[in-house]
Amino acid sequence: MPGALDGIKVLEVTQIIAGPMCGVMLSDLGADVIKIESAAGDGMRLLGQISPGESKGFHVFNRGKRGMVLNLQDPDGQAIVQRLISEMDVFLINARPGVPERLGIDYESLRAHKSDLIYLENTAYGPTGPSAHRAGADIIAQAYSGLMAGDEKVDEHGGPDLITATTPADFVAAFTSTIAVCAALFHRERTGEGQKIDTSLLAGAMVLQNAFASRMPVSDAVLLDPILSGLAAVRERGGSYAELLGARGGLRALVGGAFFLYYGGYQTSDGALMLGCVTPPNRQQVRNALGLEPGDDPTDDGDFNPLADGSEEIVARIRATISERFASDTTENWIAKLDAAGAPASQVNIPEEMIDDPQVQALGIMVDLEHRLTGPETMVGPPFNMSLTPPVAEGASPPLDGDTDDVLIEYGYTEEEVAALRSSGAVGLPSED
Amino acid sequence: MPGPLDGIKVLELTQIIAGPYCGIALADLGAEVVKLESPQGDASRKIGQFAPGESKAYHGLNRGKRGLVIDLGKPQGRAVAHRLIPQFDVFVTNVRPGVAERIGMDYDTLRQFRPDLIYFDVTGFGQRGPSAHRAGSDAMVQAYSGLVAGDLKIAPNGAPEQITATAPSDYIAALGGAMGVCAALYHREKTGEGQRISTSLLGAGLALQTPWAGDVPVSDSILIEPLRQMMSEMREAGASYAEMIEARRSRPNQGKAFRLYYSGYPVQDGAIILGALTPQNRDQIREALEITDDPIDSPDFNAIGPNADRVADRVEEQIRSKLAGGTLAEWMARLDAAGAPASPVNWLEDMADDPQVAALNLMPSIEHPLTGSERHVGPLIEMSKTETGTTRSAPPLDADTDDILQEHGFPEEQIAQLRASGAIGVSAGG
Repeated sequence: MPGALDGIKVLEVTQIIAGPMCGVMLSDLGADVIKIESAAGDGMRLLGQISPGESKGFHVFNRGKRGMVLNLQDPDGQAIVQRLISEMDVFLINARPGVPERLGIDYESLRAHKSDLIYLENTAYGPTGPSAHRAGADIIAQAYSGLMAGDEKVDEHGGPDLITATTPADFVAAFTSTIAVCAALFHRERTGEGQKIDTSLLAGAMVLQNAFASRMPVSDAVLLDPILSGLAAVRERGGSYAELLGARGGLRALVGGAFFLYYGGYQTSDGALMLGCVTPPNRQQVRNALGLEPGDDPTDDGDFNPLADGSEEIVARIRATISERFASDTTENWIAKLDAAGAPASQVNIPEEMIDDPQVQALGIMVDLEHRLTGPETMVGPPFNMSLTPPVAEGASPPLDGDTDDVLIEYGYTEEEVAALRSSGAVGLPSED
Repeated sequence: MPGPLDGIKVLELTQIIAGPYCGIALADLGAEVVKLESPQGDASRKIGQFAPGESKAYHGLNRGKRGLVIDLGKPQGRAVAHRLIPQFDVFVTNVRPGVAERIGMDYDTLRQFRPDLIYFDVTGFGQRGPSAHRAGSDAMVQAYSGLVAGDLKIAPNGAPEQITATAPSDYIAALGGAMGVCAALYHREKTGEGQRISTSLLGAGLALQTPWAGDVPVSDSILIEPLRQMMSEMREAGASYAEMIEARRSRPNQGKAFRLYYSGYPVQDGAIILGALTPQNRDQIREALEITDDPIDSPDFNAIGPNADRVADRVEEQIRSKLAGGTLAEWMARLDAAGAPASPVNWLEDMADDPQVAALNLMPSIEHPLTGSERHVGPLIEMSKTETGTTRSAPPLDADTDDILQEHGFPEEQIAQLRASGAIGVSAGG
């Protein structure tokens, strides 16, 4: 069965995660994706190298693509992109702002060669505004967008801590880019028009904070405005990051304390588990499994007010009771009881072991691939399924310069032309000598 | 300018985040989205309520939609939904596995009414496998997928902590669904065929761990296999969660040296984040900080050698003491001038007024019929030919039920009769 984007051709000049992951997903959907790298290669090739220029990070974010090396500083290299683009449908780039123009691969330059091109540009701060020109990375977007302070994590030196070991802004930007490309293909199919799409890591990070970032005067008067004035007061007297967090944290903990009783982690007699209740029925299922009596926990009663005097103590008392119950039995037994009650709960798994998890295997989330240099590998495949046009992981990542000659010949270059471009340094890696 | 999905009609039966945010992503692309709720409403209406059935979470996750209340527990209610389906292109749901079949809203039932329907469902654990039937929400799938343990987060009492205050698996699943819907619309436009798209929070959690969840034997024999072995032995020996996390934390880590320039540090009046991923970026930071004797990027530095940690600790101390000696404004000016990636640690509560956010129009104003003017996070993307974003707020419960049914051919008398029977709408006094 062909993929939904069968026949669509994508050219990408991308690096690290946000751009490359978009290419992976378009490839999973059936598009033919060609990655252009400089002779130095995507910076990701060097992060945790397993052999020269090959890293696990590069392999997972570039599976399913063919790879070519072009020197885009060289007018001959730029001319190749302009010649290839007329046969492409989509172009992806996540270079720093201004770089596409300098290399002659900006939207205006490329659409001159392919008028209905779909051109996607992802940057840290977006195309306009006072920070548009600045350098960025996922961690920068975490900090700039408020995600990091919102998580209230402080390291042992009093500095801010990353919100998570993964890169959420990068992934959201990659997924959004892919959605936009698909929507633009749909639009092109109906109207014949191509277009330019812009997204940013900043936008990705803002989406992840959705409801918290909103301003709603009716709600904010009670909950948000006191936080804002508290922050202003600490900032006014030059307080530290930890003091600023303290000013923000108190009220939020009070309001959210009851919710997090049933949406968070507990220790068991032999490990730990996580509860994930978001509705009153879910919380009642957990209370049933724990054997809590009606009256033990008033937090879901209509008249419970988290801001009232004494509420904090009530929540603390319930937390102590829940902690004590969970500590009295094994994870396996608790999960069985919680599952039987229909409550959302999970053991805390180790990422490196997920590959052997029976549920992951049942869903076919991990895919087996063969890399040309480093052999067999198994990695996360498409995270969704389609009944008619299933997404398929097309293959492993390309070695640097792996497909340059094949691609050029496929797009009409003669062997002599390819050899000449290679010896001039416009394509391929510099020779060893 | 119409959106790229102009004219596409979406019906969603969703709650909390993963389903509703998929609806927003489609609404932002120009689709007309109708949210179908039970008479009780989406549970997120009650999370942080500030007026009856109205919460900030619900408003943020359901802007741009019209609201329809049908009681799908009643046969008459199901008949109404089935009569609407032929006029919709897309159906989105995140009900628990088995529920869609029970209330007659599963793919095989709905495609009888609309053969080229595009049907998207997201569940905690997917449609098959030993956990398919289990309840699922973001926090527990964070734990199940390895995100929690991978983050090494632990509470003072030894319990695991969520990796972040937001819900990453929910958002990724929502975006994956919107991607699948757009790809399926493209396919339908070319071939006339509809289809079903399924995803899971588990798949989304793993996608977020793409670089680590994989198995690349050439790489893993050095770094991952010893770790797997250690975790398995500790588990056999009955180690606690805290002990296992501590063992993970203290293992040799080839990334330590590189993370010095990808980390947060206190400054005189707050904190700063460095975000360098390439040797060039690290050089820019060294230039701004005047650090001259850091060997980490020299070709003969061995990141997993015996001295690597000691070198990293020495360089870290240098960076730390330099940054602590200046103010945020001073350091940002120097780092920006050097072209280095760095940022202040902003407060989410301030972001609605941030000049960069304003320049990108990331938080547009929307008028809610009950609660007035609000500002919410808008679309993530701008498109040059097709509009993105919406001007419609989240619907009050039952706000558009009558209008929608009338538009879809129900006469007024029948609507009144359905309302009286409780098949649609919120019952009076209920």
